[in-house]
Amino acid sequence: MPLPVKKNKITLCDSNFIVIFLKFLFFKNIYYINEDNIKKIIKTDKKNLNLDIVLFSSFKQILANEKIDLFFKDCIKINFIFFNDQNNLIKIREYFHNIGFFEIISHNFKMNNFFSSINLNPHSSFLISGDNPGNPISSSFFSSLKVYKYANPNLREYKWISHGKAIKLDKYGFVCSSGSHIRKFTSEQKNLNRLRVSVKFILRKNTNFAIFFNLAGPGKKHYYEVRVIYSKYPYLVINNLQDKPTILDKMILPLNRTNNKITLDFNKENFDIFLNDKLFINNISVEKFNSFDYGLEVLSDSIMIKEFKEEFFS
Amino acid sequence: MNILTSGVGSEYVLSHLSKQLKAKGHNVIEFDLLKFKENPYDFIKTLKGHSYSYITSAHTNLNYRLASHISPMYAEEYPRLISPMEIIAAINPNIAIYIPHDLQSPYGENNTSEQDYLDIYDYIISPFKEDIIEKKLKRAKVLYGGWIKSFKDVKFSIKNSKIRNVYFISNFHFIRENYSPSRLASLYADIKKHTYIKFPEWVDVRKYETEFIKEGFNIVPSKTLSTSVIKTFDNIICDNLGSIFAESRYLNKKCYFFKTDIFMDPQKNIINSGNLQSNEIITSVDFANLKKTKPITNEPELFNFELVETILNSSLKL
Repeated sequence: MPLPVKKNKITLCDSNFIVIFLKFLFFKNIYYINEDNIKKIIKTDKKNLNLDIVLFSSFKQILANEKIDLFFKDCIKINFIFFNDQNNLIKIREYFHNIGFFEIISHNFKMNNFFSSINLNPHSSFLISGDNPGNPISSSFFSSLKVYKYANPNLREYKWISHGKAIKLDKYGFVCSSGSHIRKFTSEQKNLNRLRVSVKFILRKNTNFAIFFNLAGPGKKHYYEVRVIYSKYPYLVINNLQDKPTILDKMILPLNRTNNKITLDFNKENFDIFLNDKLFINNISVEKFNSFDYGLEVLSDSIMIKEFKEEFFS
Repeated sequence: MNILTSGVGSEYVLSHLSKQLKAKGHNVIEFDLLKFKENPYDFIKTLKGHSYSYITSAHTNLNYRLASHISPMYAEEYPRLISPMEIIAAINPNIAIYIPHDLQSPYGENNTSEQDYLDIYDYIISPFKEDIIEKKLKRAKVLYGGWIKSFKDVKFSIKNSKIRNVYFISNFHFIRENYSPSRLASLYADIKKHTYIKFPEWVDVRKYETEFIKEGFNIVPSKTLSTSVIKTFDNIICDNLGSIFAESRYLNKKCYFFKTDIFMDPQKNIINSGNLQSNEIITSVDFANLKKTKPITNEPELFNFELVETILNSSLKL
């Protein structure tokens, strides 16, 4: 008994010229859509649709029709191809998750990165993971968005899991990182003891953020967290690993003004941190860096993460 | 027939079914994510296009990403967690069957909203003759098959037959984070002579079992099927209002809730919920005085394994 994903494939496009061209190539099930005729398409088509939508204009035009929800709800998979920059990717994600779609994959051809969001709870929020931390707000020219009722059949492990909105505009209109971003290593990557991480970011103003190394594992229940306040005063906190971590201890550490470096020495484990326009963390302790995650938690709305660089040193 | 069965640790309740299907000559792959140590995504990709039937007892949409948000500790323990939805989407099985692993909340808790996605299955084998989930589904067919953990199993033998109580320890996350094995054994010293103890089959549980045996406790191995343990003993005791309570009721056995300071915080809400009668709540001093409950009058129905095989065979004819 096959799942009803394979049949009822149709294509919609908002360019009449492309529709004629595609009809010439594939003969049927290709429709031209605009705000006026979409109602007719909604009425005539079947259930369990596997839908391709090619858009040269904005997605907003499609959403303008009130009954489009009912149409989309009957789809198993919707594959968008954007020939125009879409500056509302997050809203599109929210829209489809809210009407009960489980997973949405975006692919930016220019950056060649993938982001996947899954429904945490229909009608509330979603959780995003991707090749980079964050949640892209806009797409590039010729990018794709695949919306799945259930799950993506092309299984893929993502490097980053981001909690929260992941990206937003601050009160000055700047695009900022937001939420928590966790780096997940694949189960095969065991050589994490020689990992060096550097982070490049832009500070819009004095801000708070934290980077942490999770040392938790069987028998251990702490992780180390370097928290930067106003980009000048880092301190180390040891968090008890509970569902909601509680700070057990903290100490404010001095910053060496000459080299912008701070060395943390706690429990015979050393961290070197350089504070400049990039944060550099070197975990010398070997075995304690188990097989788990490091992550960056953004506490305010005025930082934009530009790049994460990971090197394995000898 | 190629059959894939999946689940996670104690939530994988399909081993007996798999054994039966193997005995009938089917090629069954058991995908228990507690035991699986490779990359699950790579493994699933190898099954693509090989015409598999799929049976699962796992939470429908719970993968590592979702778990990392709703239960970070669960995610920490199962970094290879992959959901049945992802597996179904990837291998496009001939047929997909869901058999719940939990009687208390067979279709998941509210925080996963997995009920919204149950239509991905072709069949759901319900433990209940009348199941309200049927009304919520458009596509999946709900059939009564009985409780998957209720079957004619090998009798579980007790060395110390004078002890007729068994205490199922739950909240193992809480225990591991708060008590070492020796500390926990000392906290349970006053019930040692009056009960067998069974830990859940979970990561790190072996350390606790070893310590308890060393300290002279009577232990039921964690891997023992809970239903066979419940059938063997007269009085069932647990510290949580969860699946053991539900299973005991299903098997017509009296179950008691053990109120203890060890779980002070997690138990507060349960006691205040009003779901327990006062004579169902006991403390450590009551262990010695629990009387034998009435023998089972109505033997519970056994799981209908033939039903599963009939459904699997019917998928080949389509």
